Amino acid sequence: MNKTTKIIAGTLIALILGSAIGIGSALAAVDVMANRSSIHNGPWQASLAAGSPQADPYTRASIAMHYLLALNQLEVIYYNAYTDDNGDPLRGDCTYRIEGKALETRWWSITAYGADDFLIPNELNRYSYNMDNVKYDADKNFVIYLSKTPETGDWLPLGDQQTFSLSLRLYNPGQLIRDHPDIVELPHIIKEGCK
Amino acid sequence: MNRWLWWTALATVAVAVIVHFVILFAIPVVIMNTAMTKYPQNVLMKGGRTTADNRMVVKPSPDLVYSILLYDVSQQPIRFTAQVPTDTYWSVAFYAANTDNFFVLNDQQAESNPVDILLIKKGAAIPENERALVVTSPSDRGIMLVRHLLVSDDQYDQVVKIQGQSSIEIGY
Repeated sequence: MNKTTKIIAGTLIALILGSAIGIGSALAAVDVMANRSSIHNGPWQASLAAGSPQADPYTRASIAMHYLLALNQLEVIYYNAYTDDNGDPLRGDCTYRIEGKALETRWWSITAYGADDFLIPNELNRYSYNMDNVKYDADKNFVIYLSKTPETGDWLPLGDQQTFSLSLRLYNPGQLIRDHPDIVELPHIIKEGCK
Repeated sequence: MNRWLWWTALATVAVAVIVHFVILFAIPVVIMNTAMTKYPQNVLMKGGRTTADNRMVVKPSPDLVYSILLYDVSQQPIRFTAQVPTDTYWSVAFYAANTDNFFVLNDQQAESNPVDILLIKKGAAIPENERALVVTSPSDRGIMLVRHLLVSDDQYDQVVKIQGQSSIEIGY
């Protein structure tokens, strides 16, 4: 190769290979880096910088991809779960039990989302339970079941999803949750079995 | 040859780093711009129940009834007026073109009912004696999202009635 050919070849290699590495690493890093800057509480994780101008670029990109138009943490804290209490990924062919008790917040809801981050289609049009329609026992504890087939009690259908995620929204969270979002007691996600 | 390899590797790393950050900063803007092409601009769109058919924005809340405005204040400001429910959560939130939630007002913070908000671009003049709450958008274009909490199905008609009492006006 003469000098000119070497320069052209080197430039082309740098542009093509460098672009491929840059695009791939950016897309791969978004969720990894955003996850690192999130707080974790059992299976739940939350980005307290959601919607904030102070969010780092990885968090901002991740929120845009998975939580576009999120409110800031004073208004709503969004906890997301992609695993159960044991750290196993949430699967559509398993049955889960969410156990919890009343939370110190103005209002809360738990919603199931499909792998595409949209609501899971089902005949009942049932996608969530909230503090007003969930059934409490005498001690103010509640249980919500998630599965493909109907369960007695409060049940969220998983449709034909292979994987899914859960979102716990806390509207105008109380001071305790705002001060200690990583240690306040949140609902447990317990796998009962898989088919 | 070794020298050529060395310079090619160095240039590849440099390109990779630049592209990495360009993509990173472009993701929110591209996603926001895509969302902003789904409805006409400067028209307040009032949605109904949120179901699995709602696919404009990821992770919609099924417990909320939304109204959305894709705004452009580059030419004129926009005035938003809305009745605020007194017995349930309600909020109006503004998002800049880079997705930042730069302003939010909820039912407990509203100092008047109905609320009156004047959305202006950076540097725009505020009329004397303006009584509305003036909100300055850091970008010419963005999204305003109104959330009405729907605690139970029984409340749907009431929520829609209150939602119907909100409107926008273009200009001062």
